[in-house]
Amino acid sequence: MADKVIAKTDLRKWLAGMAADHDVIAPIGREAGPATWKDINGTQDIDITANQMVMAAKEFLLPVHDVLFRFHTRKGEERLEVPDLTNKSTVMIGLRLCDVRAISVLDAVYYNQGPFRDAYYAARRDKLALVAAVCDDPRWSCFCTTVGDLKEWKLGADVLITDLGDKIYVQPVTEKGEGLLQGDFFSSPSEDDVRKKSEVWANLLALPKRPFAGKDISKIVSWDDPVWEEQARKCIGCGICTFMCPTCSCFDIQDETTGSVIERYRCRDTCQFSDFTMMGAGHNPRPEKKMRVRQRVLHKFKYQVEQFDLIGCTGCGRCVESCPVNIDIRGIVSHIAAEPL
Amino acid sequence: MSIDTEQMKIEMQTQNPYLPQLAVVEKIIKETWDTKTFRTVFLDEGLRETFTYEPGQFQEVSVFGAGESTFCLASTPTRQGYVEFSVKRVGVVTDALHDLSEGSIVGVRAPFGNWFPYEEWKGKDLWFIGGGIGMAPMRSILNFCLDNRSDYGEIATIYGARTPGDLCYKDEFDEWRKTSALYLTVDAGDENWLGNVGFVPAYLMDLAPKPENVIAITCGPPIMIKFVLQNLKELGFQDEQIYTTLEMKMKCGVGKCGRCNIGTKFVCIDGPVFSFAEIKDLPPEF
Repeated sequence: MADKVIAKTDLRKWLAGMAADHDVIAPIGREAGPATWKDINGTQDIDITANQMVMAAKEFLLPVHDVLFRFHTRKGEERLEVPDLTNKSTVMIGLRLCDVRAISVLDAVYYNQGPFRDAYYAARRDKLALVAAVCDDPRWSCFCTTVGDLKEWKLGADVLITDLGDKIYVQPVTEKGEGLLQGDFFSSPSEDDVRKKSEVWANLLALPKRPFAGKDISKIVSWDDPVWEEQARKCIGCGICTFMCPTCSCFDIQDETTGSVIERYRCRDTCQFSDFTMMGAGHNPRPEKKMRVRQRVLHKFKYQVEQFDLIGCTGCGRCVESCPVNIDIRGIVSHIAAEPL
Repeated sequence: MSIDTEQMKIEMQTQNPYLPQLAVVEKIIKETWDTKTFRTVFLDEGLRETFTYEPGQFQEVSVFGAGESTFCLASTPTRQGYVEFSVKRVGVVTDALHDLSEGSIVGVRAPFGNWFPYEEWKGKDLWFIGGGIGMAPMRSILNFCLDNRSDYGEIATIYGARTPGDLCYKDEFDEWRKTSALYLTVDAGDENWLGNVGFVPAYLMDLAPKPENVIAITCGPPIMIKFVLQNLKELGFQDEQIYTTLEMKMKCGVGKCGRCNIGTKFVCIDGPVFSFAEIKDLPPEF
């Protein structure tokens, strides 16, 4: 598979070409205010190498309101109506390597955790191609290089794009990705293009790393560490960290009745709420905030490591930026890493 | 019976696990002032014939509009054609279930979770130690073992409730007594109560089963389980000889919604049945 370059002035042609037989969703510039993934229909101006998206890719794979089915209740005509899951192929363009990695974590849960596969997730994921932008402008909150190996993470994408200024360096990673690189506006990269692309990578990999124990953190992290209580003291339990997190995907299931039709949908839920584990008869296995703070960190840095050999945090920094009381997961894991093995 | 596990895996991976099957409530038994047992039958005739499950597994039951809740299957797969589950009235969905009448339509997703390793128990004596609504999952495995009576040695059940009026499955007591021992106890008796008065763990010490070649299965309120466990250890039982079913809040039942984990274990897919040897290694958060 050969690398290519495309002039930024030709970007719209490429997007329009893909939009002919795909839904193309891409970030609309963050400067314009809270942005989410948009189906661009190949028409709108977008900046595919813009900064990290406000919301992670789970917005598409696990919509905040995901209809599981509708039940028609009219007497004698009771039946289930299942949403059509045969969606069009979709290209998601502009996501960062942290978000690519997050999809690998979601894949582990939604395809393979337990004997069942999540039919809704799988229908979307099976027809999804990921065109990932290599970061040339990490945010202050980012710590991807601390928690993982970007060279491994990039293999989760189908195409990698790197902003070279007036053009974009395009690398197919999978056959699916190579299939997206059709058109006479692609040309072979010059030596200068290759050098510039390598520079972006070198800058990214040279990001300062924080103290971190790698996957060994799962072995050294302590259930009784005072850090849980310390962090819980300032936590207001709002759950925004999990709402913004690209790998947090816990959900609730609810029914909504309109006339004779009942819609069952799933929606976001969070381990940060005490309701999350509260049982009907009143018993709650995680009644204290420190237990819920611990659950969030251990799920990512211990449980998922032991289950999937994957760290469930991608260092995207969204929880760091969005926390209203400045709880910083980087500080928590660095603190843990400082413990003797 | 041999199960083609590879084929089973393919089926599980291709079906949509969130879609309930419609079932009709065929029978409602009022067990106590706050608990009813429901017998449901699938509307689909084919499913009615092919559906089976294992003792200890659970199901998600929908009252459309009110929502879905988790209930252990309280019937035994040795009696096919229907399933039964017992519901204590505690919240929105259980309220809605209690308000149903015979003939109502509900949604059922089942079966989920693991089950009691009854094959390994063959030839052993079994002691069932249950309290309150915890008797529901025990009823499944108890009736299963009674229906396969020759596979097991002595079978005894200690069943406790707050008052005589809080005991479920009273209609079956005589049946159970035919081929097994039944020891009932209540926290507080009434003028007609002739049985034992006292807590389940204490009654267990009075009866003092010897641990040789015995499996103990216990289910009930967490506080009861705690003391039953202590007392079983005192009687000489090893962790591997003791089983329970754990309860955590669940929604999806299939290991996705993230609600029922205890450390790395998800009660919906790794449980709900655990031996105490397994529970010992779990973080204390259930």
